[in-house]
Amino acid sequence: MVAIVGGLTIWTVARHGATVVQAGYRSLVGPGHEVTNSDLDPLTYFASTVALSGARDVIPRDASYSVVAGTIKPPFSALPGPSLTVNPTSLEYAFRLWLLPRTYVPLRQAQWVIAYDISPDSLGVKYTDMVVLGPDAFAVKVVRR
Amino acid sequence: MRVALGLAANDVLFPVVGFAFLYLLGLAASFGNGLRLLGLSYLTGWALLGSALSIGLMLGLPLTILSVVAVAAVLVVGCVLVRRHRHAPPPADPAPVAGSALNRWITRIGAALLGVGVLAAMITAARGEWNPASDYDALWFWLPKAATIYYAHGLDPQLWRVIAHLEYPPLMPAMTAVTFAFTGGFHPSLIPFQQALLGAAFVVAAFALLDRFVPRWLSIPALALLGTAPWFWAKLESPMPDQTLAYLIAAAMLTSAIWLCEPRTAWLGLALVFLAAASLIKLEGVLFGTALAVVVLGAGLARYRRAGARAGILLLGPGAILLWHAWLGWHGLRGSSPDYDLAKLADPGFLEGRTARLHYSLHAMARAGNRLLLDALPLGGLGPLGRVETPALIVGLCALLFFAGRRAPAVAAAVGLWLVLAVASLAAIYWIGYPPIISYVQVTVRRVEETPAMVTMTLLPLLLALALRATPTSRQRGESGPEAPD
Repeated sequence: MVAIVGGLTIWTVARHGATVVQAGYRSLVGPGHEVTNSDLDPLTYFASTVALSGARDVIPRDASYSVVAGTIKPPFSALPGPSLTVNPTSLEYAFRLWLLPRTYVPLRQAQWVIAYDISPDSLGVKYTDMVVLGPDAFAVKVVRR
Repeated sequence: MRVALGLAANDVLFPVVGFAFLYLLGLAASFGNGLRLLGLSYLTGWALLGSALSIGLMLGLPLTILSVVAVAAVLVVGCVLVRRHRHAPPPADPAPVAGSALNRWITRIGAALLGVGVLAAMITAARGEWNPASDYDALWFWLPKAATIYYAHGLDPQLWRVIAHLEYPPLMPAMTAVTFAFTGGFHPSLIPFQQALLGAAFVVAAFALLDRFVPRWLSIPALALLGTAPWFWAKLESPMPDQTLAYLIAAAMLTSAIWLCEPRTAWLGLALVFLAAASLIKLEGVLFGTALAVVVLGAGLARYRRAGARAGILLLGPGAILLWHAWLGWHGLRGSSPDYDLAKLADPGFLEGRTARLHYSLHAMARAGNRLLLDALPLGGLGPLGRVETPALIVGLCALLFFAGRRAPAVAAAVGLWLVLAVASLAAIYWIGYPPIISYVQVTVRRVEETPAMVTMTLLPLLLALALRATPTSRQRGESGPEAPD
């Protein structure tokens, strides 16, 4: 009885463990990752990492900002890579995470606006500076009176 | 280099704090000097330091490397000083029960497979990336909360207010923020490694706790089944708190069950730390923790009579959530979940109109629970068992509890009752919940059911040992005297 149960258990652990070991081996022989790249790369699922890192460089840490998304069919979606879960909500969350500690606010209160897949001119705000973040992505500094 | 050193310094703190606490309880000498002690120290230290930092943050403590080290130092020094003024009985040495040659081979092969699996998991976690697509809530609010604590050097109510599910307590984001602080930046890619390390520590800690009561030919293969179960492995690196909650509740249940076997109050102290951390990690932790404290108190009273009332101390664990509600209330923030209102449980009219939700959730939970257990057990290889799946599993579990209960009725009753209460409390939440039931269950059931499954799998070796009468006697464990708590 012990032999049968023990054998079944070992067989199950080996069967399940094979997947774990294969994944470990693939990780070991695969290319390593820089920490900073590994932090940002997975957000490719939701938004252009070029736009994300560009926005972080451009918008000051103490500034407020908003994200306005257009049709969400960016050119980079045709590139090879993970299948994209691009929609306005997940896109906004990706920017909100990556741009912390900058404060996300509604458009009418924002000092900066990220126009994603939409022309900055159609945002309905006056702006002074405009920075191209990537294909169809812009950051504009809003003029507040 | 800064990242690696910071990560190492961060991870050294946990076993140091945990060892000091085990020393305070008089348990440190019970686990040898090797891997078993390290695993249990790590898990204990993570829970204790996490709880202390969470409470500190609520009281206005800044979160910096200096403050984290200071809190850890206070805990270590406090444990050592208090221990020196206590005269606890000397710990008994572990005395594993010798098995046959076949049992020894099962132990060796199981240990080798478990060791290789844990090593492979750590390599994957160290060299892989975090996955926001599978852990959407991490992107939505868990990591933003951690980043907020990291950048604001503490709990800032203004920043907390704008993040979803602000009612969830802060332990998990605080511990993630500690990693950011030690590594000098917002590095979500390091969290899978930290989580995998905690998962490995849990498996080793469970082995350490079981080892004095369960022969290794039972404990090691059972833990290997758990450690390589597809659902355990799939969530091992997750930055979400669900699997961590499952570790903490399972560890609390195991230490409580051990207290019901062995009359040393120190086990309750250990369970209390796990329960406090579980309650400060997620609202489900309060539900599971309260149920656990209540059933262990009842079982303790039945087992030890008046001396069993000591288990009442466990209620302080889930009680830690009151501090969080006080902090939320102080800052004018909502303390209840937007998904349900607990007061509705006392509204018969409301409940009566929603019985379909209860039926649906019970069926879905039975299906999900079955799959989790069967996927971890050798029976999983047989594929779906159709309509007999649920009755077969329930009958099997009841039979195990019955036979274990003949040797240790308090343990079997506590585990069985907790499982019933845990499932019932989850069903109650689905019953009164506002989101559409199908999507609500679909999104959450695998996460919340993981805790009962983890508890079952962790307690399985102990229950099997009790049922098979394979546990060592008090004499073999080096004990003497009447069975009353010290």
